[in-house]
Amino acid sequence: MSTKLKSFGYAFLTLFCLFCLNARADQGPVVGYVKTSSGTVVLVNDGQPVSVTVGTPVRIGDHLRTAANSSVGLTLRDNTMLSLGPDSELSIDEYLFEPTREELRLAARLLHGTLQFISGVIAKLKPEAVSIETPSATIGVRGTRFVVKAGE
Amino acid sequence: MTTAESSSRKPGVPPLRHIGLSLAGLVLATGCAPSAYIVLLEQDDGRTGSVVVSHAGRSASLDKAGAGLSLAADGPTPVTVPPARIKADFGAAMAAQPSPPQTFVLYFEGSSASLTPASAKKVDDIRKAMSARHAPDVSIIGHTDRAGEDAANETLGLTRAQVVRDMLAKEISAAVAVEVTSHGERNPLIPTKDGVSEPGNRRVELTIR
Repeated sequence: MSTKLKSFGYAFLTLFCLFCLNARADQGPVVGYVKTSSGTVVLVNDGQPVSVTVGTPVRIGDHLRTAANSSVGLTLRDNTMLSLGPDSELSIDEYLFEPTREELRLAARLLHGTLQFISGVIAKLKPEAVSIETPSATIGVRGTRFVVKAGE
Repeated sequence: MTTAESSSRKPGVPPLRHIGLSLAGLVLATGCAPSAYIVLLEQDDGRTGSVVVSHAGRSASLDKAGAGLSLAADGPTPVTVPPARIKADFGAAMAAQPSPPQTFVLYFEGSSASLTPASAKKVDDIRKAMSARHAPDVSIIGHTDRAGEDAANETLGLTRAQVVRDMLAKEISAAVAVEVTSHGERNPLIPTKDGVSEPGNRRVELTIR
């Protein structure tokens, strides 16, 4: 390989890496933040699990996982509050909160474990825009607080 | 407990359906719950909303606090779950609930970005509320009334939000995020016709999460 080609190759590789880094840093808008955390809690978004602490941002596509004797609580931009007990996993599948443009949507999934849900502004403005899935239920929310267990 | 149950039973072999019924009674008494279920709870404000649950072509709704549905593969069915069982299953999730967000509304004089005297006095309360929270995220939304041009009101709303942000600079530096936006005249608290001056709409809404 000629030196010229080699340096072109390196330049390309550097650019590619920068692009990848940028893609990792730009994972889409933040939809909420972790507000409480105890024990071992990780966040996964098609990569290595990242350890969660109070203040960790949550984005669309993120999975939050708690270990035994662990729990986590988050507040979304529309004031929806979600909290998980031990051995639980929740994914945020869709989220839109642009009240002035009437763009509202919250879809989350409890894959296993326990969840407490307290509705926020989206459920107040457009109840049909909120849905919580478990392996054996689709829950439509009409402005409320509930707890749900997804089974073993 | 076992003695009480056996003494209430009549001697002899009970018919099959009675065995079924007493088994169900036993399950309820020992607080067994389905492996997957939902229970509606009362909100902080004492009100209760409702949920609609659907699966496998069946659907059911809940609108009373404490009411539950078992979530089996063949669809939801009503179930009564003892409070002790709810506590055992959801105590950790409930304890992990974040502090409820707090919203403050500050009002402005005329078409200016100066707080009314009453609102200026409330700024200290906001400072205290922000300092009391660990890793808060804050949204500051500026609003105007419907007097004047739309575009000018977008700018005025943003200026108002920025003024509030600057007053809280120290507290905001400890926040994980702050979002400063304007809704201009598009989101009035008190609906009016266009062009109407309304003090109740000249405001900044600040939410601490």
